[in-house]
Order: sequence, then C-alpha cells, then structure tokens
Amino acid sequence: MSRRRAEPNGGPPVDETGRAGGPVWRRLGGLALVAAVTGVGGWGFHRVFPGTELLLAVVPAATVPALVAALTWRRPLWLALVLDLVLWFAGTVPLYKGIAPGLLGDLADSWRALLTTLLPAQPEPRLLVLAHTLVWAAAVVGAETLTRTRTRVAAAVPGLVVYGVALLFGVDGEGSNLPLAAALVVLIAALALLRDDRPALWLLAGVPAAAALAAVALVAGPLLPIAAEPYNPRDDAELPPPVRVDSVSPLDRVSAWLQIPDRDLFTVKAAKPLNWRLAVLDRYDGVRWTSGARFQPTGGRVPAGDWTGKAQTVRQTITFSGLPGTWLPGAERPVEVDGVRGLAVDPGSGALLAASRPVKGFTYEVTSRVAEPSKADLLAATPVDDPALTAFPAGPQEAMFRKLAQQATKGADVPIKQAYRLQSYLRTSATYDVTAPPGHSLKGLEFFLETTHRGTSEQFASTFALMARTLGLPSRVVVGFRPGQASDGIYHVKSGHVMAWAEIKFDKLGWRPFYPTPGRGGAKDDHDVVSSALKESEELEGEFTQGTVNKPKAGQKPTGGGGRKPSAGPPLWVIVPAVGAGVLVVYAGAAMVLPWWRRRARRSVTGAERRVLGAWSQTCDDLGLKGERALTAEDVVARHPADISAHLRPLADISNFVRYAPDDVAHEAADAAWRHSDAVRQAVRARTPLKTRLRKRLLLR
Amino acid sequence: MYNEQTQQPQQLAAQFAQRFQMLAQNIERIIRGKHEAIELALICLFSEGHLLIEDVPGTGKTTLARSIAASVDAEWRRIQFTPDLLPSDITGVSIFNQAHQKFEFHQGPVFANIVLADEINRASPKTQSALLEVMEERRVTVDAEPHPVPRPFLVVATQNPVDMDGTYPLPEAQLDRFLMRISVGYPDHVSEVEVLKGMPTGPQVERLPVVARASDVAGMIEFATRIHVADPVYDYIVALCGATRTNPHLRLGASPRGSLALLRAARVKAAAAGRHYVVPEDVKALAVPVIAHRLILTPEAELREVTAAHVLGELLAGMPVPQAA
Repeated sequence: MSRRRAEPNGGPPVDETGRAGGPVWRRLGGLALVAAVTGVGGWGFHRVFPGTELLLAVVPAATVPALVAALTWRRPLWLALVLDLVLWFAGTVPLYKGIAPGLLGDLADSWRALLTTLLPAQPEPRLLVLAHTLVWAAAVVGAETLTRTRTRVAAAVPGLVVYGVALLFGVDGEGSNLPLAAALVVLIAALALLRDDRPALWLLAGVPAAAALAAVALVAGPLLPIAAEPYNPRDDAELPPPVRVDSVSPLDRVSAWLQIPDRDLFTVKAAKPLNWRLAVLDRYDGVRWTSGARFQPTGGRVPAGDWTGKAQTVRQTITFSGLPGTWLPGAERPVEVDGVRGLAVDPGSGALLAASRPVKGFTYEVTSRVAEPSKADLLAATPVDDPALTAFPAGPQEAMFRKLAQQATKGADVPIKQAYRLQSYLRTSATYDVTAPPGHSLKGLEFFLETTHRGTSEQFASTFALMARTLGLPSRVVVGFRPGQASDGIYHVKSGHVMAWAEIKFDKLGWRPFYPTPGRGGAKDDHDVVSSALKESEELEGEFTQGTVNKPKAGQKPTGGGGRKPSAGPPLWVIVPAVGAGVLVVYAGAAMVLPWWRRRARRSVTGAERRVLGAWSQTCDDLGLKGERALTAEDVVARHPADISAHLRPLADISNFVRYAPDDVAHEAADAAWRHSDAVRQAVRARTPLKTRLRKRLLLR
Repeated sequence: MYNEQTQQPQQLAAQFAQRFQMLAQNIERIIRGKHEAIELALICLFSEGHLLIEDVPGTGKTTLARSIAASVDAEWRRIQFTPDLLPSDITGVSIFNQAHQKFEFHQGPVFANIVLADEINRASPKTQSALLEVMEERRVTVDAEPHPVPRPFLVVATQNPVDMDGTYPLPEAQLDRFLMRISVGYPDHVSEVEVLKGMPTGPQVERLPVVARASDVAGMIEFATRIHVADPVYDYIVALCGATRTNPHLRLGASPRGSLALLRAARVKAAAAGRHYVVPEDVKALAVPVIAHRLILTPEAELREVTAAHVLGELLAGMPVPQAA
C-alpha cells in the first residue's frame, strides 16, 4: 500500500513514488465517478424536463469539468477555474443554439420561472440553463476536490446537492427518482472504495457490497417518511398576477361572430361531440366579464379539476383555421396538451393559452376529462363558499335580479335544482335572437330581462351567472363553441357555432355547466350536432324543474293505493326488526364496554386523589352500592363479609384520608387503593353467580 | 400513613389512641362487656363535656365513674342527690373564722376532677341548677368571689328512669348542658358470669392502676381540639342538626350548642381511632348519644312510641355523606 504525503506548497497530495494523486488509474477512475455522480444528480431534473433535451444540458456539464481537472491537476487552481468558466459559457451555445446575450438574466430568473411552471416544463433554454449551470458547478467543485484533496467521498457531495435541488424542483413531476438514488449510492460506494488506497483486488470485493447497498436503498427508499408527503417549493412560490391575454374579450366577439356565422375557425377530430370551451370569465365589474386566470407555463400537463369521480376521457385533435386570439379551444377539463410550444394554463379553470397567436393549420392534441357525476352526486352537491365568485356589482339592478331569481327558483330544495330551474326560467322566458343588441353590462341585461326578452347566448349566460350569484351560487361565464358540423368524424366549427354558457361551482363536483340559451344553445339548422353535455343538461332540467318531475312518462302505469307513495327502501317488516336488533346489539355492546371503559377512565385519571376516589367509586359500583349516598365508608365495610371487608377497610381508610385529611396523598397510596379495589372486585366476582353478574351487567348496574 | 408530611400529627394521634385504649381497657377490667359505654364516657372526659347516664340501678353507673377517676389519678367525689340536698351542699359554704375574723370558703364536693352526681333527678330543681351552673361555667361563685373547679372536670350524673316517684326530671334546657346521655345497660350473659367469677377477689376499683395523670389528660384534651375537620364534615354536622329542627316528629331540634358538642365529641373519637382528621363515621356514631337527649318529640310522636334515637337514625339514613373534601 502506498503512503501519501502533502506537497510543501499546498498542491495536490503525492504518494511515496512521487506521483501526485496516487496512481493515474485511481485518479482518472475517481474523476469518472465524480462525473457520473454529478451527471446522475443532474438527471434528477428528468421529472422537470422529461425529454432528451436534458441530456444536452447535463452530459457536457458533468463531463467537461472532470476532463479539465484531469488535465490541470498539476496547475494552479485559478487556471482550472477560469478554463471551467469559459467552457461553461461555451456549453450554453448548443442550448441556445447560439450565443445568448441575456444568459445571466435567464439564469437569475430560471429558478423562479421553474417554480411557477406546471410540470413537465417546456425544455426551453432559459429553463434548462439552470440545470446546466448547477451540474457544471457541482462537477467543477467535485472534480477539483477529488484531484486536489485526499478526501474519500467529499467530491461526491456537490453531485448529491444537485440531486437534492432536482428533487425539490421535480416534486410535481412524473416518474421516479429511486433508481437514481440507488445509482448514487453505488457510485459513492465505488468512489469510497477507489479512494481507499487498497489493492485492486479489494475493489472487486466491494462490487457485491455496493450492489447489496443499492438494493437496500431501492427497497428502503419508499419506506422513508419523507417519501409520503414531500415538501413542494411550488406551494410557497408566488404565482404571476392575472394578465389580460386578449385585447378583445371573447364574450364581446360572440355577437360579431354570430353576424358572420360561416367563417371557419377550427376543426376538431374527436370521438364524441362536445362543446369546445375557449375562455373562462369569472370577474364581472358591471360592464364586462373578464378573466382572473393566473396562467402558468407548462410542458403539457394540466392540473386536474375538483371532480375525482367517474369521468370519460376524450382525446381531440384540433386544427386552427381562422380562430383569432391566443386562447386554445378544448373540451371540458383538459388534463394534457401535446404539440403546443409556449403553452400556459390556468390551474383554476383549465383554460389554455398559447404564447403566440397560432397560425392557420396549427394543430395540437388535447386530452380532456369529461365528468360524469351521478344524479345523487348532483342532488347532494353544495356550492362552494367563495365571495369572489358570488360578488354582484353595486347597483339598483341587484334587487331586481334577486327577485327574479327567487321567483324562478321557488320551491327548489337543493342548490342543483335552483340552478336548473334558473336555466329553465331563462330558456322559457326569453327568445334567442342573433340580431339582438350586443353587450352584457348591467344596464343592458336589465333591459334584456325587463323589456326586450331577446338576446344571444352572451346575454343569457351573463344573466344566468348574475342571477345565480344573487342566490349565493358561485358562477362564471364560459365562451366556447357548439360541436359544429360533423363530416367524416371531424367537427367543423364556424363562427356561428359560438356559444356562451354559465357554470356554477359545487363542492367536490367542481364547475358544472348550465345552458340557459333557448333553442339548443342557439343552433340555427339541423346540420349542427348537439353536444352530449347540452342534451344531458336539458334532460336534467326537465327532471329537476317543477311540473316535469311528477309527470308520468309515456306508457308508465300510475301507481295504485290512492296516491300512496311508492316505497324506495326495504319494507317496514324488515326495517323494524332490523332496527330493533341493531339497538339490542348496540345496547349489549355498550353494556359490555361501558363498565370496562368507566373503570379504565377512573384508574387512569390524573392526580393521586382522583385515582383514589375513582377506586372507591368503582368498588362501590362493584358492590352494587351505586346511588346509596348516605353510607359512610365504615357502613360499607360493615355490610360485607370478611373476605371482602379485609380489602375494603384499607381502601375505605385511604378514601377517607383523601376526602377528609388535610394532607396530600401519595401515588403509592393510589396504587394501593386500586390493588384493594381489584381484590374486592375479584372477591365479589367469586361470590356472585355468572347469571347474576350478567344480569347486572346488562342492566348497566 | 399515606404521606411523609403527615407523620407528626398521625403519630400524636396514634399516641392519643394508645392512651385512650389503655384507659378503656383499664376500666373494662371493672366494667365488663361495656366497651361502647366506656368509650363514650372517655370521649366525654376528653371533650370536657359531662355525661348523663340514664339507667336502672345496679348496672355499674357509679362504678364507671369511680373507675375513670381511679384510672386517671384524679380526685373524685360522689354526691347522692336527695330532695333535701341544698345547693351549698354541692358548691360549698363560707364560714366565719373567728380566729382570723373573716369568712372562709369551704369547698363543696363539686371541687373534684370527677364528680358523680348520683340520682340527680331526686334533688330539687334549685339544687340541680346549682350543679348545672358549675358544669357550664366550671367555677363556683360565692359572695361574689369565683372559685374555679379543677381541670379536668367531668360530671357523671345518673338518673333512674323507672322509679319516678318523688323525682324532679331535668328540664330540656338543663339536659342540653350534658354532652351525652347514655345507657349502660345490663351486661350480656358471658360478661355477667365473668363479673360473678371475679367477686369478691377480682379487680376492685381501689386496686385499679393509674394509667394517666391529670396533666396527661389535659394534654390529650388540648390535642383533641386540634384535630382537623374538613369543610364537608362541618356541613354534614350542620345539615344533621338543621334537619332535626324541621323534622315533623320533633317539637324542639338540636341547638347550635348541640352542633358544637357533636363536633367536639367527633374530634375526640377521631383521635381515639388514631386519626388526625374527622370522618363522617365519627359524626354518625356519636349523633345519637350527643344529640338525642336534646330533642323534644311531638305528642303525636310520643303516642306512636317514636323515640329521638329513632328519628335521628332515620335522618342519618337519608343524609348524604359528604363525597369530597
């Protein structure tokens, strides 16, 4: 075994043969391991950037500093660091596909941008540069530590730090980091062996040990408590403020589009006709509906909505043909979007936004989750408590809206029925007319409600949302399109298919759509396909509104019995014995458990005095003296035979001491009291026949 | 017993109990099978109260008083109450001493530690009241000069409830001056056989050893006054005495003097049991001997042969025992 000595000038350590850093193969092997550790640590960002673009950022950053260290280990440290800095800058060129003038700015903002990005993130250079730089810095520190010190595994620490940072940034991402953790364990173990200066044969013995260690790490990793609920730094990151994403509100375009109904906007290839939502507007200032969305960049994943029950997954391929603006249409609640660079989503509403205005022919794919709650879910739904979503602009119109809403929903016993009755009211009290004046200000809607009774979905949806708010139902307006005209499995959506509808947010159910516009949402001809959501809404409206519920369906025989309601549950002769048996079982259970529980509570009460008094009370209960309040302890003792009173007397003495003596009682006395109480209980049990004991127990005496 | 800090009062109480039992056992050598009566008499002694023994002749009333006096090394006197007994025969008189040319007080038999007032109901009310005044005030005033009686001072009065001819029953106000009224009663068969076997060579009062000095008794009386009484026990005593005042069978209930007497006696009983605190058992055990003679039954209750002890028993059976300090 060779022995090392330090260079007098503070340079790298040398062995007895005068070769610095030990044998060359050990040094190079160590550098390779450090590069591997750093690279594996950097690959921890794979949950942030799932594509292969990450390789371009990590591989050069992990390997080049190791090469520099191998070449410059005899040179001064500053020279190596300068070379590393130059090469780091050079390494950003492939990332940016050229020299990036705002490199330092991107680097400074990258961590904040990543924390406000929904994973997976787009593999943009301004984001990748963070991983690249972290790995590069870790590799430099690790490689120089290895070549210039005699530490064993300290060179691996920077790589581990990178791995830790990557874990934090990738908490929301998909995939597992466990294999990487196992690989890190193996690599660090190998580094420790390599730096131990033992013979080469010794290293071979470490291979099975490292493999076993990796296996243990792989198995034990998921068992660590931190794996259950990892800290997510995104929870603490400040989201970007709401921004106006369009100069013209999509709701303002509704009337204009209806005036020129044949303009091609986009096509959708989907297995099911659905309404394609474009924009979600949840703020109303009395003049216009706007969006309060806080868009976050994402690589394609969209956070799921509130509904976690039964749902159908619908995949759509959407091709732009003339739709203005940067809003991206999609059905219901999107969960994944492919093919959009610079995609941003509002996690609250699921609305999609492109970074730049899509050109004609731009195609992307959306996977949506269409909620299918049961009728019971709907009836049990309660509106969420969110003052922002029930806010009504100050003005004299509120009273009128409220009065009308209350009249329309009179008799509705659950919120969902209120909503459907409101929908029914608007669909029957006003007429759809594309020539109606546009606008959705409070004045305009008042005029619509009181005078014209004519409007487009813009007025119907707005009115519905505002009336719902007067009832305490949190609402918003959605601008979208009907399915369009079907042709060869492709739905052609034109400007005339535009439609606004309203949504109400229920607890657990999420946002539930309502279509208050009459005439199937304003469809003008029979060539239009009606969306399944609209059909379902019409059916539920018929069922939940008064007059339809009690109507017998065609062919259904009226029930007999002079108007007796049909029983929904099991018959009475089943219910009564079942309830009786249940009561008996509960009573028997209570009779068995309560005495035990009471004794346990008395025994475990805090304070020696209370324990002693508990022991006495328990003993009186065991002796059947409950309620005999005029008996002194001496009377109780005198009433019982010798085998019982032998334990009863000392217990009575302790009890009297606790009650009437001026001194505190010790815990030992409390223990003794309970020992005597137990002994009395045993003696009483021995004297009392089982039937008597059972009877007393069932009578809870 | 239950805490190191309580060792001292408990030890004193144990010493009290030991001496109390020694006294009781000493007296029991003469008065066989009457442990309860002896204990009550001693409680009276250490409570600085007075005892009225109401029983038929020949049950050991006088012997009990003599035995107590003999056991505590105390001076005792016997006064046989007769109709012609004058107050001065009890308290003493001032006689002119011609040699000194002044009146000198000659103490009567009441100047003793233990005074046996035998058949007290045979004396005239005037003579009775002279004795009762000494009992209450523990001094005799003659010619405006007070003459205190020695301490301890215990009057053991007896009266025969059967032979009532020519007697002057004690009025209720005077009965109230007695701490207790007890009945010795006949001995049981075994005890009476032992009494017969012991005569005439058995233990006699004159031969009883002295087991406590008068100063010891004074110390024990002092200790008994310091026995702890918890608030609920006070409530219990007051509730019991209060209940006698509203009971429909009673024309006159226990006075506050009765409550005080019960408390004093309960303290001594607790000490006699080796405790430095009073428990409701003490109160309950002493309620009848201490309270019963202070109660006056209604004529209806007397017609129904209801006794004061019976009324008290009912009250105690329905009176909740205090549950916590």
